[in-house]
Amino acid sequence: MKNIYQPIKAEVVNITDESSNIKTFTLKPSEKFSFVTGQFIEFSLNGIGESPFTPSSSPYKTETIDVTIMRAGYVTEKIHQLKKGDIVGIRGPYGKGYPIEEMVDKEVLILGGGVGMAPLRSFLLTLVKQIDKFKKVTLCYGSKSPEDIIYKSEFEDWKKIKKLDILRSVDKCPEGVWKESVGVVTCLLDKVKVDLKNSVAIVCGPPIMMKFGTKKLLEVGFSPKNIYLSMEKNMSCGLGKCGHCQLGPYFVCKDGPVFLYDKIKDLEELWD
Amino acid sequence: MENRYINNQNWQNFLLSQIGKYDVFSLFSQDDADYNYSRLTTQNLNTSLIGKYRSTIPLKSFFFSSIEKIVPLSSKKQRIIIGVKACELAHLQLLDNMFLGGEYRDPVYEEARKNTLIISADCTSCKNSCFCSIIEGLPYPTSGFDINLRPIQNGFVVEILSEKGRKLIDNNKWLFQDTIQNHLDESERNRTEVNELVLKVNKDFKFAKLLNEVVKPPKADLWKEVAKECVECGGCRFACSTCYCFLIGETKNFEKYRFWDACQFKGYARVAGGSNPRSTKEKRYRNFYSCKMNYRKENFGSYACTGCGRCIEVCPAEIDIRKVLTRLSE
Repeated sequence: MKNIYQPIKAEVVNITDESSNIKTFTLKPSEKFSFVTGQFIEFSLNGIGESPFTPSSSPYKTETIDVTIMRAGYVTEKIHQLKKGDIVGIRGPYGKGYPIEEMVDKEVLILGGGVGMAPLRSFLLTLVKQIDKFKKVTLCYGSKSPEDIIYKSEFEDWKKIKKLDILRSVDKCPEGVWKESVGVVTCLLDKVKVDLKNSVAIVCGPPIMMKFGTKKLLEVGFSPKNIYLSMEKNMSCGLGKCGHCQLGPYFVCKDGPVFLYDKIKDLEELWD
Repeated sequence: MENRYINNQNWQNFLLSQIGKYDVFSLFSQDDADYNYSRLTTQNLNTSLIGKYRSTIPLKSFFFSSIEKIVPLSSKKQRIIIGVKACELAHLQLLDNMFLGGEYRDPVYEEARKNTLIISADCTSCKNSCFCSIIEGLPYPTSGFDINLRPIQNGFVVEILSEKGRKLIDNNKWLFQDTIQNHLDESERNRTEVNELVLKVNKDFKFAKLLNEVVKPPKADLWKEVAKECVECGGCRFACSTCYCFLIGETKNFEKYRFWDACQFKGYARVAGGSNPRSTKEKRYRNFYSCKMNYRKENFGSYACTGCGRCIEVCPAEIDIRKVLTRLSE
């Protein structure tokens, strides 16, 4: 019988420091492993525990998978101590990813904050690979300070891509060091011109940013049917069995993690 | 449904012949008023019981243990569980939905389920906490068993539902006789009596038919008041056979175990970084009522409460779900 809880082994082949508390781990799975952008995996540390993460690499890259992880709790603290060559476990992929097909011939507005850029990097790389299919892609990304921006070097490459606009903001910084916007990420939405009739928005970030980001998108005129949220809950089994990621009648692990806002907008505990 | 008759003496012979072939679990009396499942042996055979009503320990323990290894898998021995009641069969149906439904089948649960033959029995009385008849249930099984026993004087009417059950009876067919109309009439009378008893015990509880609607309105003050007495021990969630939540733990060599968990515990839904979607007691309390009466109804078509009343019995704060549902219905 197939054991749905059994992880496969993966080797840590590279570690990149992204910021003071965020690292990207490049994993080489021991077996064939593929995913759809936006789906997540369970990352398992031998004898320590498992945590859910959405891969940050392009699903077109099949030899290795990148997982970008912020140090935020017990398991992530231990993950940050990993070294090249260490063996970890991965299970998945789980859940529903971004519905790319529904974005074809549309303008795609990406709204990201902090480490929420991790799944969005995978999503962005997926769009970039087939950029001709979309009218326009706009990335609005906010971080606390210039030092907290992740994928710093890659932004330079992304800026060169045609049909991709990038706007960035930082919450605060000393004068003179930052030439782009200052303020919370929602301030970028005032600077973006979108064709509301033909646009979709994708939001991923910390809960508070998701809440106000979505509110702002609605104010700007987006329909709840055109906003997709990457929800974060305590996805423990990833299979719709253990109950921990319950969000109203849904399980984020199997019904999400990507939800159409319209589907969940009336849930009382949505932003809790 | 096909049925047979067996007298008490032959029933004992039947049980005796199964010991050794299967791990047989039967009900035994505990502290006069309660029942629990124990392994049947040649020594305790004569004190084994069918039980007037359900056991204290929830049936889920057989299929989803409080602690069990989930990686790697191990095989389980064939077993028979005797004395399972209608409310517990309904529990199993609900657990089947969770563990075997959807895209993934839980291999640990499936193995346990596959290797178990269930001999259920009609209730012949009820506890003060029993309320199946007022929440879509009945005190006698109509589905979900392999074999069902309907106790009558000096024996049982034996109902055969599954192929597994049929084989077991066929292998021991000299112990069984044809049923006569008097047996069935007597059993029907018993069923009606027990159902009326359950209704009588619950005559003061008047809750709405559509419990999914009852738990929907925010009613923040009411939830706060209801949850006030709750000490969040999790006892009601662990005693509840429809609660399936579990926590996964790791040991060396990527071995994994799972443990019962409960949405009433504060850390249950917390994520790394400290954010907690259900940070207050009343939010957690309401969530479990929503899960039982609304979400499961929406996802699987039935309430995740079968009226077994274990949560009422186990609660140190004497919270009675029937009173809560009555208040919510007002």
